[in-house]
Amino acid sequence: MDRVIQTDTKIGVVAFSADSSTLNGLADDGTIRLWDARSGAPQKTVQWTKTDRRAATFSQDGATIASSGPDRVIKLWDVKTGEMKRRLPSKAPWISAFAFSKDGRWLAAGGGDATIGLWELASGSLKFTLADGLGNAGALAFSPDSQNLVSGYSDTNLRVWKTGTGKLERTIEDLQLMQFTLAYSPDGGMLASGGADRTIYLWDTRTWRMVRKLTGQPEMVERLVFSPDGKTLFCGGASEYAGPLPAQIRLWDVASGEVKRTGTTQHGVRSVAFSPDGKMMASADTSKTVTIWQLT
Amino acid sequence: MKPEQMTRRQILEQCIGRGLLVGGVAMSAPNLLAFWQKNEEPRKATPPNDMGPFYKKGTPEGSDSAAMRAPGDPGLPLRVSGRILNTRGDVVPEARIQLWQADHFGKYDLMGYRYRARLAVSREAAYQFETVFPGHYPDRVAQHIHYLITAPGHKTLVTQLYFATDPVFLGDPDKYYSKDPLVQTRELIRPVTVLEQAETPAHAEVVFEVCLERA
Repeated sequence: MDRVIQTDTKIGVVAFSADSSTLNGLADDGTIRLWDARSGAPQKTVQWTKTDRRAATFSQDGATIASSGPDRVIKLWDVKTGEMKRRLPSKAPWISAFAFSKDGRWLAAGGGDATIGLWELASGSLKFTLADGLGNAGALAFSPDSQNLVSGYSDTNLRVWKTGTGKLERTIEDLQLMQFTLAYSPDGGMLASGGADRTIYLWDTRTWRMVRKLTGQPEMVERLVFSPDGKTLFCGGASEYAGPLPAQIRLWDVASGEVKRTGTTQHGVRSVAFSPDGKMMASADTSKTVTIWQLT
Repeated sequence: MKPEQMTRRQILEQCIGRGLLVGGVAMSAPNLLAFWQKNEEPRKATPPNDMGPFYKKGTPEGSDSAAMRAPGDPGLPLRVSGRILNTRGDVVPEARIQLWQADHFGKYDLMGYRYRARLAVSREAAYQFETVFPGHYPDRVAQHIHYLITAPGHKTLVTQLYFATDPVFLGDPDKYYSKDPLVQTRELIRPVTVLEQAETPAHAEVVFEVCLERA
């Protein structure tokens, strides 16, 4: 049975724990909320930060949060305690997006100055500053082997970067509108992107050709995540119309391109997650609601 | 080449060649030129501002003026005009401008190109467009129009135009410009003039002169 959790504050980002037992949420009131993933019951509230929540993102193992604030310093936080573990001084005026690589080596930080900082986490050093494009990178995704980083810029282009060298490998200029979200399939063979034109694009990552378009989402494609087995794609929408309006979540079958399931959120989706055991999905929307969608 | 067709750089190079601009210490001609040009910047570049999520490729190219407002469109009619200059004060007639904004209801046209335009400035680097005041929408506090300006030999500028009459600035943009955290600078907020002439119905006018940095 699906669980709808009403909270007293908006939740910006959700992620399941590695054992799928807990759902973690980053709240706009500066706390980390933990819920029992099966029942939806609150487990714990951890004090975190009220001032440095910008672009907050969980690491792939769910143990660390990257975020930024008004002082141009990137901060890394311990999810269990809410304590700051590390400070990375950045030149970017503000941060638009973060992504952690799966091997834990890299943190990518999209800057408001149209650059992407590629930080090596072990040394805490800025290894490369990637600079190409206009606006900022609103979406970032590392390939599962951590060799490539893909960025979605305000100028609507997707860019593929080599993490080992910081070199721009390819620019995809086919899209008319910005891609807000990027998701690699677990085997790395496919990248899904989506944005303002209500369409999900599936890209073959060997050729970088578009292999399929999934259309029919009634609103903008706000967030995407693949299931752990790569067979399904979970999409959360958000209306482009002014005002808080309901939005749809969709579960797509990647092989057939068919919709397996739909659901409705009260307002636009801010974050989606798949549980590592593949049995649950979670969405957080702007109505102070978190929904845990049961698949089995 | 006629003297009036020479660029400022060519004029300076000629001055150096004729001994009219001389380095007091041993200085190569390129260094002397760079020194002079660096200290000759009379204008401050227009600050950049966030590009936002709704830029769209493929906007049809127009002339030096555009009518983004269609007859009967809701909203307060607005005419925006200005020139594109550079930090030396030269007009930049090669400039191209892309504009995009929300309609009166705060909605961007994502499927088509309403309230989007691409302009080539005139020989005097002037531009003008007819529109309506953009609406407010929940994720952005202040009304704004997006600009993307390109010109050979100049840095591409992405910025936004804001309005001093916007209620968010509480009638005092000097003090309250940061009520919208994305505004970042007072310089992008422009005064509004309301005109009512015999030949044209009442409308508001804003002048937004843009200054580009040289590459």
